[in-house]
Amino acid sequence: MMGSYKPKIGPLRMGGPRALGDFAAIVGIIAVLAVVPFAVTSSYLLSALSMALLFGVITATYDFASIRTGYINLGYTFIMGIAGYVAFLSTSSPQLLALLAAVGGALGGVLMALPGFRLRGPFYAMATLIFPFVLIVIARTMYDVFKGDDGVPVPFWLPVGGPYAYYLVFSFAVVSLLVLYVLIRTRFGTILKSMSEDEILVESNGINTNIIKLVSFVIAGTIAGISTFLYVSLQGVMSTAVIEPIPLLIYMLLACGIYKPGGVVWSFMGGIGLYMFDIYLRGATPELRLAIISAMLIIIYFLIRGRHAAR
Amino acid sequence: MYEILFFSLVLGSCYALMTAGFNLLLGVARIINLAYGAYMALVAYLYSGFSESMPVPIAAMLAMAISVALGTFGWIILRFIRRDEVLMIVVSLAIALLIEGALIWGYGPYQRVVPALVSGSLGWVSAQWLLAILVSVAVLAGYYIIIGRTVIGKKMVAIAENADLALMMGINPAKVYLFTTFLASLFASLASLMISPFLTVSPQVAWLYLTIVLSVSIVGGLGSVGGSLIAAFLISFAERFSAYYLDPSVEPFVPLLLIILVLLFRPQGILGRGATRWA
Amino acid sequence: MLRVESVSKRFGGVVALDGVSVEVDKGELMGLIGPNGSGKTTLFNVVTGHVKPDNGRVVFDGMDITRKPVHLRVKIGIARSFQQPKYFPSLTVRDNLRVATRDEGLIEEALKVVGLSGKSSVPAAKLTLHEIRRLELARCLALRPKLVLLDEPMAGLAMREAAELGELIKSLNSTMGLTYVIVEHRLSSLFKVVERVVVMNAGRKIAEGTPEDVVRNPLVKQAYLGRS
Ligand SMILES: Nc1ncnc2c1ncn2[C@@H]1O[C@H](COP(=O)(O)OP(=O)(O)OP(=O)(O)O)[C@@H](O)[C@H]1O
Ligand SMILES: [Mg+2]
Repeated sequence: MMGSYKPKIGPLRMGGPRALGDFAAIVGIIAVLAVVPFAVTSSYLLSALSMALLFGVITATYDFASIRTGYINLGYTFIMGIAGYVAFLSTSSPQLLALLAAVGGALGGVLMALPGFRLRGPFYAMATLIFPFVLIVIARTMYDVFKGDDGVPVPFWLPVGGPYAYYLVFSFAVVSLLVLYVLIRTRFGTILKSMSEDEILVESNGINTNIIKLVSFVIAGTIAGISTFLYVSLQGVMSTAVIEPIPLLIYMLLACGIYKPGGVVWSFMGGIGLYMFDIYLRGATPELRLAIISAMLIIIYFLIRGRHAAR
Repeated sequence: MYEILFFSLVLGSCYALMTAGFNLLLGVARIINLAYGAYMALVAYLYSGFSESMPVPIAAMLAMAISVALGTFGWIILRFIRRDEVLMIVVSLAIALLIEGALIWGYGPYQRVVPALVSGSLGWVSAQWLLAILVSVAVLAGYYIIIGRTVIGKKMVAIAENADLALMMGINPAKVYLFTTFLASLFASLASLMISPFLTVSPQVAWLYLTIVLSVSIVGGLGSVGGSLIAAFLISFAERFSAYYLDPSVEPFVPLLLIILVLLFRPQGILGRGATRWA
Repeated sequence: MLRVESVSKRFGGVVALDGVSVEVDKGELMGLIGPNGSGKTTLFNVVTGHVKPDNGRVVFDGMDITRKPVHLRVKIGIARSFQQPKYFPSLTVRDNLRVATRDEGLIEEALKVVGLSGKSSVPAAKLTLHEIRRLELARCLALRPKLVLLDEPMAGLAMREAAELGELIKSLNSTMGLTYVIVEHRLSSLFKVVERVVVMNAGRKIAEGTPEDVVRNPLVKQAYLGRS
């Protein structure tokens, strides 16, 4: 291994056994997901799976912007809230909805990156946790506009439950993952990774770390915003349930820690799995559900501990 | 008008009391306790549960006794988690969820009314309002006497200032931390008894409490008890007056706006010291 | 090239810098010595922007940079290494440098100059201390600096490794015209490299001159003997 010659392929690097293994896994997963509609006939299951795919994408963006940079964000669902409200409160045309959700998501990303200019570590985590809670309070008190827990109704444009909706979501997921996968293999991705290891050193390399945080959250927010648009379209209503950070955030944290931090594809899969698990859990009593989720939280700790102990 | 002024004072004192406990834990013991709101919800439920079968003052005292004992006992867990910041966040969130689950299991997911500790009123001022102010003022004054006059209080300040130095000076931190946890539990329990009667309480109220505590702490300065006092009244007055003069719908935006302003111009908070330093 | 004008900095009760003025000329190899806690690292931090001074100015290439953020100072040509070596442990050696520049050719060159070409795909966590010091140097080179500040680059190295590093620094100075300020406690190794030395004690500059002059200076002797 040591000293072996490594060919340069522009700024984009493939190669190395691990990257190859990842690549094979990704292709395998995509292939399996592509044929799902032939195997699954239940339209309920198919739409559940579509939502899980979208949640997987959102988790992958969370991994990209938050876990990878070491800015653990506990209010990521705020981005979904902003994207959803910006889009569904202003228009009903599907194309415009997608566009506005992307813009809203980017805006949410900016807002989530801002506290990171001044706070880090647990302080950043605490500050960001407030955002979705405040948004929920706002959505409830300004019921006339946001319709609180009942939610803003969504125009019907997506035939939910059929293979068409699934394949739309599936192609979106594949494209998003590809974008993230390529991005983390560029210099920008290397810088994101280096941020979590030593931010002071990144600055000493002549890099404005605030811009890095901003750009990563805007990219993540834009993709998460479009995902939210599809997610809400499948669900049929844009309500405070979309913003509720618990338990979604716990699933995201858990999914990002499952394999190795910063592997967006693994986070994507983890997100899908945990979302399906959550759907299964919904049949359980609420207290059992809370107990299981809190047990998961403790698992997360052990999964992400190694990385923090290294510092 | 006077009513608004007075009610701002009432809620401000409740905010101050609840945030003081959180920041005490953060400032002295370096613990981020995200289960704090759930703990307050637990107190409210215990009290309201007991009050169904016994007179209100006895129910309040029983609830206080149980919850302060529980909270102080919670130090055993808190001591374990303060080793790692991610662990603090994750485990305290898990505890919050467990408490929420226990409340749903024990009392059902419904809204419930928490009875006022005292009934009656003086003119337009209800007795519960007066009590809330009196208790908050008394407790916080007591706190300042403790840290100013007593040995354990001075040790608390020493540890908050510089834990390593305090250790070198021969202060045994274990006792101080236990006492700090006791104080924080006391503050949280009292605050919950004061503020819960103003609200309709459901198990989710845990997150409302946590939102208030975090907002006030960030504005006042994380880990600073003095800062949380100022921020509590600032937020409370700003909320009430913006609702009165501008529009009731702007009220929930006020804390968010203040947080953004603070993050922009004074990221460590009003009285905080370098929130960016130990992280 | 660099002019520090009567800079002061207090940390609480500690006066870390007390009206320090230092000038560094282009192409110079300057040593900065002083007992522990005399303010050498703080002076570096003021020059790089990691610490904002209470008073005084920092002028670089005729530009007042006292209030400039860290990353912009790097962009105008100030690179540094840290007393506690800093690097990205989980990134490969080459990726460590990729954070500094997007120019792949420059990275190869920097690695070759410090002799780490063979280790370019090894994670930095696997490097020895000697290699890490050279990685830090390579990172500074990849930033295309005019001025390089090295904070105890030889600490923890064996005699021969220290000498090697000294030679490397010297050759970079003559071939690329890089200006250096080096903080070092190993005076004998340092004096083989630098042409001029500034001595600090308790936040003040107490002497400056050639290595020979400085070691004879009674104030310097006192500063070094007076402690312990
Ligand atoms: N960020 C800081 N906060 C508080 N005090 C500091 C800080 N940085 C430095 N000091 C103090 O300033 C003084 C000067 O420290 P500095 O690190 O500059 O010394 P030095 O000359 O580099 O010492 P050494 O040779 O041990 O590296 C010391 O007393 C130190 O404790
Ligand atoms: Mg030093």
